[in-house]
Amino acid sequence: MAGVILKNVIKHFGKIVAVSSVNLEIKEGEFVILVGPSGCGKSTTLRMVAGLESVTSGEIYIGDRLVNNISPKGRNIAMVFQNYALYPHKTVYQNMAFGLKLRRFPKDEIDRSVKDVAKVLGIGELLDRRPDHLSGGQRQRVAVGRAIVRKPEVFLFDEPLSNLDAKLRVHMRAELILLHKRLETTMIYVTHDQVEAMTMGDRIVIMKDGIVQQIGTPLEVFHQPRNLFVASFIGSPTMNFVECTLIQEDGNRYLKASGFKLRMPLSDKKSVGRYIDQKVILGIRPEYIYDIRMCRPGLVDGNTMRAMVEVIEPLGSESIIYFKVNGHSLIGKLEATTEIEMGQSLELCLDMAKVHLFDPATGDLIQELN
Amino acid sequence: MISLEAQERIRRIGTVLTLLLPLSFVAFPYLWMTLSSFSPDKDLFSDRTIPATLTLLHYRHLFERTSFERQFLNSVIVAVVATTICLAVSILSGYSLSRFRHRWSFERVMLLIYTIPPVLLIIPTLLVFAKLHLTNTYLGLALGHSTFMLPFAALILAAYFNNIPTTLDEAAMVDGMSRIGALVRIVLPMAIPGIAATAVIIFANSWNDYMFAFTLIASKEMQTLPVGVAELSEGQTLQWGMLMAAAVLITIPMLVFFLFVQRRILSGFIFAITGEK
Amino acid sequence: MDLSFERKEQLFSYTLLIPLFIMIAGLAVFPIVYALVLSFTDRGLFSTSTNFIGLANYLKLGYSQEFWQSLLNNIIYAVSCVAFQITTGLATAMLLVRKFRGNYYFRAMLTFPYLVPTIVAVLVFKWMLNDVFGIVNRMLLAAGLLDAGVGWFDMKRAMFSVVLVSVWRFFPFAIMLFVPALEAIPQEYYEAARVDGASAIQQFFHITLPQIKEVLFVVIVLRGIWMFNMFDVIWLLTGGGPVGKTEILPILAYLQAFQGYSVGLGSATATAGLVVLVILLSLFYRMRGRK
Repeated sequence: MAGVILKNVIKHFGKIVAVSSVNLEIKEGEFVILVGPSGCGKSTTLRMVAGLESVTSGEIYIGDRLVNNISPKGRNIAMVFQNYALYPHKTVYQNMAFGLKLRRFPKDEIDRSVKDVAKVLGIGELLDRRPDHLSGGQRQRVAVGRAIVRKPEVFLFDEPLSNLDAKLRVHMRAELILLHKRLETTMIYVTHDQVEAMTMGDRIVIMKDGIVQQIGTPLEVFHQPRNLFVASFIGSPTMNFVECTLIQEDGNRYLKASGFKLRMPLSDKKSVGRYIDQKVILGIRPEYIYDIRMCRPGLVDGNTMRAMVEVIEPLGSESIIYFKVNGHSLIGKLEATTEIEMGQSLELCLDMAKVHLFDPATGDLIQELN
Repeated sequence: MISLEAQERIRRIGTVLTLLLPLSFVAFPYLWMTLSSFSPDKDLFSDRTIPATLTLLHYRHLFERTSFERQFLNSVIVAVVATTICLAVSILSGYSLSRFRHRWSFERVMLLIYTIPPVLLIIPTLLVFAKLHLTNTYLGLALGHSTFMLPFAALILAAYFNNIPTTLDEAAMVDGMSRIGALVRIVLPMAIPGIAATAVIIFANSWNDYMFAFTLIASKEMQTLPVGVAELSEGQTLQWGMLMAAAVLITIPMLVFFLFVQRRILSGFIFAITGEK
Repeated sequence: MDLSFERKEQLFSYTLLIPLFIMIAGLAVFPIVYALVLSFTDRGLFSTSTNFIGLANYLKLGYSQEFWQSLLNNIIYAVSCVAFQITTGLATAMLLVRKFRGNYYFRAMLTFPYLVPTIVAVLVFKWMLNDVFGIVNRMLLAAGLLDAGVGWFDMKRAMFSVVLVSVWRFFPFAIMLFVPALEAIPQEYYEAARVDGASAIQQFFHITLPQIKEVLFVVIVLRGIWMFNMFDVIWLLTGGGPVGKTEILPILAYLQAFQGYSVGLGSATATAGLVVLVILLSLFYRMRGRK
C-alpha cells in the first residue's frame, strides 16, 4: 500500500497539451477521484500513473519510488479498464491468475488467491467461463478481481462503470466503496460522472482542458467551488447563474438585475468591494431557492423575487421547477408539498448565505458569503 | 534508466530498421532488374556491378526484334474484354446477392470451386474451346479469364452493395423506377469506387495470367505478354538485357494501377486480390 | 399472370444470376465434369476416338515412379511455401501495424510482388540466380562466402530456388490479410497485459496469436490450396526439372496432356491431385476441430 505523488506533471502530445501541471498528493489508502468532461486529461493522467503513457515533464512517485521510467510491470499497480480488457481466450480463472502466473507465484498460492477473491466478488461459480459468456456486470467484477488478486500498492480505475446500465451502476458503486473499505488500498478512479465522484471519493480532483480546477472533499467542492466551472459541474440540477450588478446603496450592498434586487449580508471582506458598480455573476443552487410561503422566518429580508413558473418536473418528494424572472431563467428544487401550477406567479426567497459570486471575466470565485 | 519516451523512440527506429529486411528482399530484385535493363551487354556480363554507362539498347532491341508491342496490345485487349464481361455479369450477380436472400451459401461454394487445380480445368477447356472455335481468339481467352474471376468479383461487389442502404432502392422504386432502373441509376453510381477497385483487380488478373494464355493461344500474333516474354526466355543463349527490359515494361502498368487503387488494397479486403494459378 | 410481389422479386433475383450460372456452369462446372470423365478414357490430344478404359489411367499412375515422386515434391513444395510465406508475412505484418513515419510507403512497397506477373518474378530471379553472371553468386563470391559459383537450379538446389521465388511472389498476400486482423486487436488487451507484467513474447502468445487464429487458419488454407495447385512459377522457372526434381502434379499433368498427348492420363493426374488436396484439407480441418 502506498501513496501517490504527482509533481508538476505535464503531458504533451506533439503540440497539444493534454495535461498541464498536475500537482497532487494522494495519501496511503485514500480514494481519490479524477473527474471532468471528456478530453479534460483525467484518463491521460491516470495512464501516466500506470506507466502506459510517458510523462513529458514532472515526477510521479508511488510510495517513495520515482517511477517515471519504470514500465507498468515494475510499478506494482493494477488497473481496471473501461472495457474491462478481459483476455477473450482465457477463462475467468485464467484471466485472474494471469498476472500471478507471470510473476511465477506457486500454483497453489495462485489457486487460493483467485478462489478467495472470486468468492468475495460473488463470481466463484463463473471461474470456468469465457468472457463472452458473461454479463456486463459479471465481466466488470472479473476485471476488478483480476486487479485485486495482484495485491498491488495502488488500484487504478478508468471509468469502470461507464458501460453498465443505470441500476447496475448504482449497485456497483456501493460495492466498490465497500471494497475500498475492506482493502484499504490507495485507489485512483477516473469518471466523467459527477455523481459517482461525489458519492465515492475521499477527495475529488476536478479537471478541465488539462488543468486541475479544484481539489477537495466532496463537501468542499460542493459548498466552496473555486470557480464557475466547478460550481456548474458539481451538483444536479446545475447551479443557477445570473449576471447582475453589485451596487452600494444606503450602507447596504445589493445585487441588482432586471426583475430583482437582493440585499447581500453584511461582510467586511475586501474582495467584494472591488466589484462595486461592476457586473458579477450570482450563483445559487436550486436547493436554496424557496417558495416564500415555505421559508423559515428570519430568512426573508430583502432577498425575494417574483417569478413565473414555466415547467414543473415532479420527482416525488421534491419537484424541479423552471422559473422565469424577467427574462432570467432559474431552476429551483422545492418540496413537493407546495401547491404550484404552471403559469403561476410566485414569490421566491433565496438563502443569501448560500450565494456565490463569480468574476464574469475569469470565472473565479469572488468571495464566500458566509 | 532510459525514459519511456526514449524507449518508444528506440522501438520505432528498431521497427523501421527491421522492416528494411523484408523491404530489401522485395525491392532488390526490382532494382536490379531495372538497372540491368539499362546496362550495356559488356557490363552485364562482366565483373562490374554498376555499369559504366547506361543504354537504351535493350529496349530498342525489344521493339525491333520481337513482337513486344503486338503482345502488349493483345494483353490489353484481352484484359479489357475480360474486365468488361466479368464486371457486367458480376454487377448483376452482386446486386442479386446483396438485395435478395438466397438459400445456399455462396461463399462456401466459391471457396470449394477455387480448390480445383487450374490444370484440371485447362485440359477440357482446351478441347471444348477447340470445338467451339474459341481457341486463338480474344474472346475465348477473355471468357476464360472472366470466368475465373467471377465468383470473387460477385462477392466483392455484393459486399460493396451491402454498404449502400436498401432504403435508397426502395425510395427509387416508390418514385416509380423499376428494380433495374434502381440498380443502374441509383446503386451503381454510388458503388463506383468499389467497382473501380474490382475492375482493376480483374484487369490485373488477366494481365498476369500465363497458363490459360499459353494453352489457348496458338499463333504468334495472338500471344499475350507473359507468354511472349516467356518464349523469349527459353533456349540456351538468353538475351538477358532485353529480357530485363521486357520485365520492366510489363511491371509498369501494374505499378500505375497499383498507385491508382492502393488505398483500397491496403485497407485490406479479405479477398481483395485473388487468383493465382 | 399476376404473381405476388415476393415471387416477382425472387424471379428477378434469380434472373440476375443467370449469366453467372451460365458462365460458371459452362466454363467451370462442365469442364471439371468433362475432365473427370476424360480421366477414365484413353483420349489423345488430337485424336477423335474416345474409349472408356475404366481405371486404367489411375492404375498406370499408381505404378508410376514419376507420379509418386511428383506427389512427394508437391507436398514438400506446398508445405515449405506456406510455412515461409506465413512466417515472413506475419512477422512483417506485425512490424507494419506499429506507428512510425513512412508506414504507408512501406505497406505499399511490400505489397508489390503480389501484383506483378509471375513471368517477371521468374525472369528476375533466373537472372539473379544465374550461376555465372547472376548478382547473387557474384556477391557471395565477393563476400568470400563461396569458393565457386553455386548452381541454383541444379539437382540439389532447384526445389529451394523454386520455393524462394514462390515465397517472394506471394508472401504479400499474407501481409495483406494479417495487417487488418492485427489492427483489429484492441490495444487494451496489450495494456492490461503490460500492467499484469507480460513481456513482448508473452503478449504475442497470449494475445496476438489467439486473436488472429481465425485469419491464420484462412490464410493457411488458401495459400495451401494455391501453392499445391501452382503451375506458373515452376513451369516458367524450371519446367519441372532438372530431371523432375521440381516436378509437381500440375506440371506432370500438363506434360502428360500436352506433350505426351495423352489427355486422359493428364486428367487422371490432375484429378488425383485434387483428391489428395481434398484429403489433406479435411485432415487439416479436423485438426482444427471444425467442419
